[in-house]
Amino acid sequence: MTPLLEQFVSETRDLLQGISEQLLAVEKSDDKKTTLNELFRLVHTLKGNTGLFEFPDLTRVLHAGEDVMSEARENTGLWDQNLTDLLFDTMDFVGQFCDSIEESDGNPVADTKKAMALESSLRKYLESSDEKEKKAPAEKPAAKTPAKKTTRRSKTTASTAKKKTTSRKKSSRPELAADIALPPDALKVFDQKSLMTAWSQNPTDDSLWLVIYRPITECFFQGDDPLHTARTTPGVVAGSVTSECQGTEISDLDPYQCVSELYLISNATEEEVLEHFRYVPNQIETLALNTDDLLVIQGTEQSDAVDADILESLCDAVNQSDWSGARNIANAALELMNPALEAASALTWLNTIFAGSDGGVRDAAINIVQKLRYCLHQPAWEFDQVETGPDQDSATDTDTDESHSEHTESTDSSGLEALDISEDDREALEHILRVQRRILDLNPDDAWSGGRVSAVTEVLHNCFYNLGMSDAVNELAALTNAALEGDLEELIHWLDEKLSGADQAPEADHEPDEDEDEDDQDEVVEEVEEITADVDEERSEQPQAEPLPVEPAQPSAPSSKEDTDSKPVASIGTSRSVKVDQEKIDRLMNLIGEMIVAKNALPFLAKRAEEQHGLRDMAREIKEQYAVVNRIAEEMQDSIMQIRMMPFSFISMRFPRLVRDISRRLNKEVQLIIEGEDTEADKNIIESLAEPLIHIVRNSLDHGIEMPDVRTAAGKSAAGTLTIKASQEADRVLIEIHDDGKGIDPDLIREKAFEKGLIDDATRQRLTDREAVNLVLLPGFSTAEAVSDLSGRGVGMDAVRSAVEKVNGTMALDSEPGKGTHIRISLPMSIAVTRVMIVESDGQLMGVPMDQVLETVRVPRSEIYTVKHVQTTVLRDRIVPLKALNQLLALPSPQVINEEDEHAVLVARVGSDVIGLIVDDFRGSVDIIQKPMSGVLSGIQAYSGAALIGDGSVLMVLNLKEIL
Amino acid sequence: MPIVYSEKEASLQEVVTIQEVDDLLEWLLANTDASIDLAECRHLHLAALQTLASARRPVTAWPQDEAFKGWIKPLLTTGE
Repeated sequence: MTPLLEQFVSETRDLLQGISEQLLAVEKSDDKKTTLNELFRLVHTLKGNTGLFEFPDLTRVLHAGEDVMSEARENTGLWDQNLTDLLFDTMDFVGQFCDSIEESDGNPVADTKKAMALESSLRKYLESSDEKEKKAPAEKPAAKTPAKKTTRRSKTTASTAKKKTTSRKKSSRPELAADIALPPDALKVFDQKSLMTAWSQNPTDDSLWLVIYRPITECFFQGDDPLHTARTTPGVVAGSVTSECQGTEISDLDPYQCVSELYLISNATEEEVLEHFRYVPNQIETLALNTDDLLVIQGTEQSDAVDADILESLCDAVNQSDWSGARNIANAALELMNPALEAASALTWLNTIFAGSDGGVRDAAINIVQKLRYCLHQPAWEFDQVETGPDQDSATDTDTDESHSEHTESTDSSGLEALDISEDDREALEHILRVQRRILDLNPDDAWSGGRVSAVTEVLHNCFYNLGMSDAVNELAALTNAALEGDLEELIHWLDEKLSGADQAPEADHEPDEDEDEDDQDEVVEEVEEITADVDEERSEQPQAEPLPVEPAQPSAPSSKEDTDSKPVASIGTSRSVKVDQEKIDRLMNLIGEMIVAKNALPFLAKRAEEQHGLRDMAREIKEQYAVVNRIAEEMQDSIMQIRMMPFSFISMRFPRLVRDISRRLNKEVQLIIEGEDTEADKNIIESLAEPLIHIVRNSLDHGIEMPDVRTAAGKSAAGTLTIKASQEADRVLIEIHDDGKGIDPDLIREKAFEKGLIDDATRQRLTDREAVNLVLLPGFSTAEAVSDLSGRGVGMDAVRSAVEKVNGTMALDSEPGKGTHIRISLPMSIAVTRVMIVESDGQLMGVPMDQVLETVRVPRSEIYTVKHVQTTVLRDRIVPLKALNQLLALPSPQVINEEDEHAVLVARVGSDVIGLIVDDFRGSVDIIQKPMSGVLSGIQAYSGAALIGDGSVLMVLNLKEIL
Repeated sequence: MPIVYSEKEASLQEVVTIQEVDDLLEWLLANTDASIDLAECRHLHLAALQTLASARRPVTAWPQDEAFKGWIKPLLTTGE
């Protein structure tokens, strides 16, 4: 795995964490906008990162996610719990992908199916939002979203936007109405010749893709040549380029800005095409085509271009499949005709079609003839259904319909083309402008009117800027200052001009097409007027949709501001921390450990210098040096410990999601409170806590917190509260988990424990409630009636306890029935350095962890009594059982007694018992860095580890729990 | 030289890269009524194509490669 990939994985994990936090925040937050913005940025970064590698599935899924979030930013109403679930799934997918990268050493196995499923579910959201948002003014991102709409062109599927267009068209030209999915302009841009070539190459091939490639403006600076990319597309059969440059004066041209769109038709599979454009997947749009779609008639309209008789005989010939006859007629007509006419285009098509193979010729010819008839304003011809099944019937109908609407679309959009925006955008723009205009009319004496005006100018600027209307942007810039200073007159006037000019705009911008027929132009203007009228109508029909004029503007205005304001907040990328492999720190830790041991040898050296060699001065100097080295070494150790410290938030941050998921699954309402996230402890400790805490949280949610109705009945709030609190107490970390659920019933526990044979009858009677409650920590204990997928298998709390004890932690449980359960876990802050008491026994030194040591006492032999074969003594009115260490370790020699006939007894707490350990002598306490035993020794449970002490000898650390 | 300039005509040859765009633009600005010859051209960088499109000059000869011609012809003929 390359370092870059490693970094990618680790950064992705961080980002995922951030995303998941934000996702949860969105659910709760009132200010969804800010959170969503942040969320969007994170997803955007993540997606950007994936672009470094060839993980198309990952990029695709994230891209869909990004689109959804971008949409949600504009339209917070889109957000609901299901979307959150879906996004969580998406993030899980990304997480799994990262795992896969790591496991496979950089060659992940992607679950393409899942990626597709996720992507399509995400896209569904986008589409549904399009529907919902039909009327929203600032819909630009959605409309421009380069979603890969692979909708196969059919009568049933059509994008919502188009439906809208056509339905509006219905009102103006009912006879032309038809349901079509393909933007006619998309094919209109092609040279007819290329289309013909493409058609004759694929007369029967059904799977054609129209690819619309919209390179980003800066693509030249990235070394791209989009034209080259497009030309080398696999299976490309025709291509074309459109460019705004055509309308730009060459003196104003910035040749290094890409302002073109590329269209191409390919007969390769969609996968091949997508693979080819894998570096720019968001800049392309693919549409499935039929070969019939290629039959596009171009040119100028002239209704009497073909004599009626000729047309009739042509239709007849086609009807009788008399290709040569039809061809002659077509050729004869073509010779007399202006080649720029639509009719000529259709006749040329016929020629191409007849030249092609037999298959599909009739259909294509009929298709073209019907289109021709339409161009000539003739009613559709009734062709015989020769040698065709019932399918053909409908096909022909569709074709005819299509040809009509195709034509309509092209005539009216040719005028708008100059603005280079879709009709929907255009309508949206006008709407936005009107709303801004109304905002400007609001009372200028309001204290916040300044903000309002700046929002308006911001909105206008963004609109014009995004539409590439640089003139308008400049004009606006000139007006903005005056407007911000309170002089709104000019801005209002200018805006009015823009609004009233909306009708004329297409005409004015129409220059490039000037040489077109006069009537054509008239028609354009007419058409535009119709549209505007329709727009107005629509508006007046739905005044309720916008109760206050200010409101529609607000979503766009603050968002644009936030975009600029909150950029510095994005701190993820610029963290000042360094990522270091844990192994490196561990190595450092080992080295400092050795250093401390080496340093501790100095006092021994000093002692030897003095005693053996009589060099008193030397000894003193060594001691002085030792003091210096000691100080530095200790500071070093401290710093390294600091590096290993991790905040509690490292594990607590996963709880919000966990709690959310579980409570959703259980239909419970839970409020999670996490406190003391900054509390730090050693990495190992923190990590060892993760599992136990998850168990506890699950238990609390599953067994503790009741269903909302039960809670309400018990007089509690419907939502349960789960508090997780971390705090520092001297050198220990205290974690408290508290829930206000039903608590644990001690009687029930007693019975259960007795039933399961975990306690005997006597114990059952004797146990206090508190002790009874703590029985749940015993292995194999579960009160749940049924095993759920969350908990109840009887391993939970036991596993928790052993995990806690593994790191020398302790755990206690309190519960009050009906009030809730309280669990306290106490852990050492660091397990790296342990303070041990050194004891001597049978001439060997052994360590006992200091936190187990209660006291060290000398017990006269006379005070040791044997009760039931167990040596005991009474210490502070308490009976303490005594055990001889030699005996426990199976060492043959008896324990040594000092001159006063006393035994050295180390009183230790083991679990909840207090016990006296008889040893030979005490040697004081020392800080050691305990190393786990390795190799064959690791099987010896009596010792928990070993450490080096100052004189270079090895100290074995006793594991009291095991030997007692 | 991928582009041969004369007073009346620029002849674009072989592959025209983005490096030629500056010169091309300059020449187009200086020779306002010159025409373009693409007969020998096999590929135009999109930036060069945009420049030509913006210049709206008559094209005296189209590329021999029909497919390539199909790509660029609609864009370069609109001004005629």
